[in-house]
Amino acid sequence: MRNVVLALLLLPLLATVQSTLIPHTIWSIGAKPDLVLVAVLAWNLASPQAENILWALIGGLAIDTLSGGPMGATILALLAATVLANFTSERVWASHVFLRMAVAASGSILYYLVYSIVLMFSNWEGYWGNTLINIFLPSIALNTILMLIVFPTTRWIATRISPQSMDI
Amino acid sequence: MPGKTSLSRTITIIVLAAAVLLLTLGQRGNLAALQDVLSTVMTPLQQGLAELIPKVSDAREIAPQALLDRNATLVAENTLLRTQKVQLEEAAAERDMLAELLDFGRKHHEHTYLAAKVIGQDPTAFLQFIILNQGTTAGVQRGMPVVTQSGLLGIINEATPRASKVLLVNSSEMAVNVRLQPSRATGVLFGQSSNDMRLRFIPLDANLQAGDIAVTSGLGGTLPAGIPVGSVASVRKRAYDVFQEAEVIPEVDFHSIEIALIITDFLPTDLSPLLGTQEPLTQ
Repeated sequence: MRNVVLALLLLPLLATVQSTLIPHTIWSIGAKPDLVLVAVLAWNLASPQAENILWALIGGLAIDTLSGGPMGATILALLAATVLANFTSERVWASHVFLRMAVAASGSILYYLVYSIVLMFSNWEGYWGNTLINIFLPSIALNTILMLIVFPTTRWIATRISPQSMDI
Repeated sequence: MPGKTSLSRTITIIVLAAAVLLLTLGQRGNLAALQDVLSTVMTPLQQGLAELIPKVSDAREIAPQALLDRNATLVAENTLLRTQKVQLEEAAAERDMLAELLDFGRKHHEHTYLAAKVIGQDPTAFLQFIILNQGTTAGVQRGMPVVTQSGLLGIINEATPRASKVLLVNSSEMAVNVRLQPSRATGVLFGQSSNDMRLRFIPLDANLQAGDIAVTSGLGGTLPAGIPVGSVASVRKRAYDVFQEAEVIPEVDFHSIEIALIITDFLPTDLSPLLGTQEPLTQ
């Protein structure tokens, strides 16, 4: 349950930083790193637990509150990315650096894909060619790089607040 | 671990159901109360962090200097002086910005304006919204136009008691009826989710040139007339097309907006009843 409390404290803060400060940093090039997505993916890799799915709900609600997009869209997108990270986190090679990068990249792709589909079904107009080149690809790259920085910290926090159980 | 898998599956289904429910309720416009509650929680946090924006922007300039100077006393003094300098520069920049906004207000004195601070941008990478610190308690309503000293910024898309979301003019959701200066030709300007916009439906006989200014025409009743929107960068005219097109660069720099003006005495006119299909009076 402690990881849900952590999500309640951390994810709204990250969503607000993403909305407020990130556009004014060196990242302000159109594409942005998705702090909430990276945090959710990193946490699922570092501390694979069933309740981690709730991170998608909490993070999604925080993002959707600050976004002009339809409420629920980010929850769905984060849920898809979380399920993917949850699946890979239980593999033997889960701690390998390439897996983390692969999860960040594939999780980002899945996240943007699901979000775009929800936008299309919500009758949002979109220039998907522009979006793919100017936003999706740079954002996926930024998220993958960010995962390398974020994961060690996340694992350190995870070992302190929710030590992993082992079935014998 | 069947127990864990089962729990994980149950939570996934619950979260999925919650997301679908929210999307459905949102489509029907039944989420205003929830959005107000969530916004009431998030807005103070956002306003607090927005105060750090100048420091974040200036940190990049300060960092190399601070690293070079290793003397503790001098660093302390230097930091103090720099902080004061930053504050003075901030105050001067804000004064200049307000003077320009005032100037805009004087030029377009037919409207009533409400100044609002930008406290956030859309956290998703592909939607073009900004968040202002004025909401329904200050009289802000959906559909009100928002401008800066340079021109049209967008329209209010959603307003909560203490904040409002502005759909930017370069968003792919936006279409603005414009008139070109000096040719007086009219067209429709479409956002493309990027830094340029596409001007369409301009008659082929209109004489368009790079540098022409697009201002709102007032057609359609969604925006007041005469607000600058952008300038023509290039024109595409082909003899076999019905209309000509142009690329337009917005007047507003969307990345550096700090304060905006909401036009509070203008609400969009709903023309749909007048545009409905009617039976002809005589046959």
